[in-house]
Amino acid sequence: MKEKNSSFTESMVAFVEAATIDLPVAAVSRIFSEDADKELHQAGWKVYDAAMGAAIALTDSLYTSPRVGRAAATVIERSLVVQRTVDAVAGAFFGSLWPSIGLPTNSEVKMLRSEVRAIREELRSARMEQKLREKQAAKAAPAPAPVERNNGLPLFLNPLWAGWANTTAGEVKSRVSL
Amino acid sequence: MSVFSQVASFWAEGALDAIDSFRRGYGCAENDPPPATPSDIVYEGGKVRLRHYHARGPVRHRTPLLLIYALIKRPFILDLMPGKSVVEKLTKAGFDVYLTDWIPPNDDDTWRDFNAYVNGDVANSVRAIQIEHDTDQVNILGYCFGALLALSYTAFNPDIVKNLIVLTTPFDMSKRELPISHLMEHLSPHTAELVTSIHGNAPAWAINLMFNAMSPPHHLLNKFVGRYRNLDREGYDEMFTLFERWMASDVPLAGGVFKEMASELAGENKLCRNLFEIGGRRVDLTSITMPLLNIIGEYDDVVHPSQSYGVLDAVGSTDKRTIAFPAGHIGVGVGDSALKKLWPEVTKWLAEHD
Repeated sequence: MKEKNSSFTESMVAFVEAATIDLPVAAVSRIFSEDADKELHQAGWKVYDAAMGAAIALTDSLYTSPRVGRAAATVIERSLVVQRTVDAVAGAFFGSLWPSIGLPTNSEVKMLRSEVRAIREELRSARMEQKLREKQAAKAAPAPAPVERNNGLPLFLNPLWAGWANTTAGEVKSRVSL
Repeated sequence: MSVFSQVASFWAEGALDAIDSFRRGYGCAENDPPPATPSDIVYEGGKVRLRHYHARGPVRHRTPLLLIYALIKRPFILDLMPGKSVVEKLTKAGFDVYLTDWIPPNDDDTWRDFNAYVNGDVANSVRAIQIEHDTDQVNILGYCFGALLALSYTAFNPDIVKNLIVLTTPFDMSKRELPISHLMEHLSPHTAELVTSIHGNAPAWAINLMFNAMSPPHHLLNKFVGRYRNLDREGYDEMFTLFERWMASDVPLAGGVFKEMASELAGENKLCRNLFEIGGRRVDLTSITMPLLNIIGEYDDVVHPSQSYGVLDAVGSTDKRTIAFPAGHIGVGVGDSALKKLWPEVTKWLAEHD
């Protein structure tokens, strides 16, 4: 009797599986396949487009809902606060751990990287400057008259332009001796 | 292959690409596809690499054109592939084109604000063009976020800019027509501070997430189904792959710019209200008096058209015009119909004003 019951259950499972999974999948595959007649094929895609349109409309209405907006903003802000706290705690713990075992701290490695990067940028800027100067020099005189700015200073005296001489440079290039 | 297995394989491919993009930190120059148009690097400094695409064809225009691209993605979308390249179109029309290929900011660049980009990198790029091209004036075209930089630079240097073109400009932030902007308005000004205090810059993954969040059904399923449905279209698959590569080319946004963008531009709409200050100087848009062309994507779902129309009223130019083109945010740049109809119109306008 027990055996009978178990085979019935298995059969039912197989039936339900075929009816609710295999059959719809086969039917839908038929609708979307190129072999299906044109009308059926088009109707299938029409259903898909309508479903996609509904999904997009649903997303948009969720976004415009003040309740969802407030909830999302709260989640984002709280997760950022938690992240900042975790970062601070981890930083304090490892900041004292690494030096005690003779390893550099994260900030020391970062400083070293910054130095290397700055040297690279200096070199690159100097090379570009040199190329531009050569180009400028190669062009026959007279040099183009500098454009007057609103403040009356010629453009090459604009202190924001950090690339040429006579400037108070703002970035890394200030360290390039010209 | 059935629709299910084909779409599933596209989806799996997309998911693996997304994981790979996340792993390598999204956009960097090394991951760009090969350029369609050859270029020289004429200047590199700060956070910009200035590319020069030489004019081709029988007609040569006098004034070079500087393309100021957005800070948040790689610019190769403007030079995607032969025949689908804005840069190619412009050079073939006889313009010397320069492009700001932004170098992604790193941990040392969190201080970078609009001042560093506008009065530093853009100003330096323009000066390099003046020397390279032996000219006093340049034409400027700003794309999306780049249009904000273009407007600001031009307001400070109206004598240097001969003609200004702005494309899909997120200008009037008080217009919140896009559903995602409703979600954003619930974030407090404190959020930008939190992001920069943790990450320094706005991380590339967060920018990528924001773009994908604009339409989850599209990015999770519909685009893969679209790829299946367009398999027969010549060149579609190649274009899809390149486009997806661009979509995953987000770069971090420098902390200073991100904070100004979140609080002063998006929050208080200061640029539109003519109150925005860069480096202690007000960006007075009424000082923009040169000819101006304002291009808008009618179906733009990244920068809603209503945000861009106001540019025309804010500037002091008398010769100004808006083109509302029936395309989306990217379609305005690389769409087939834009390349056939819009860009010839742009080159014609530039040639007439040269």
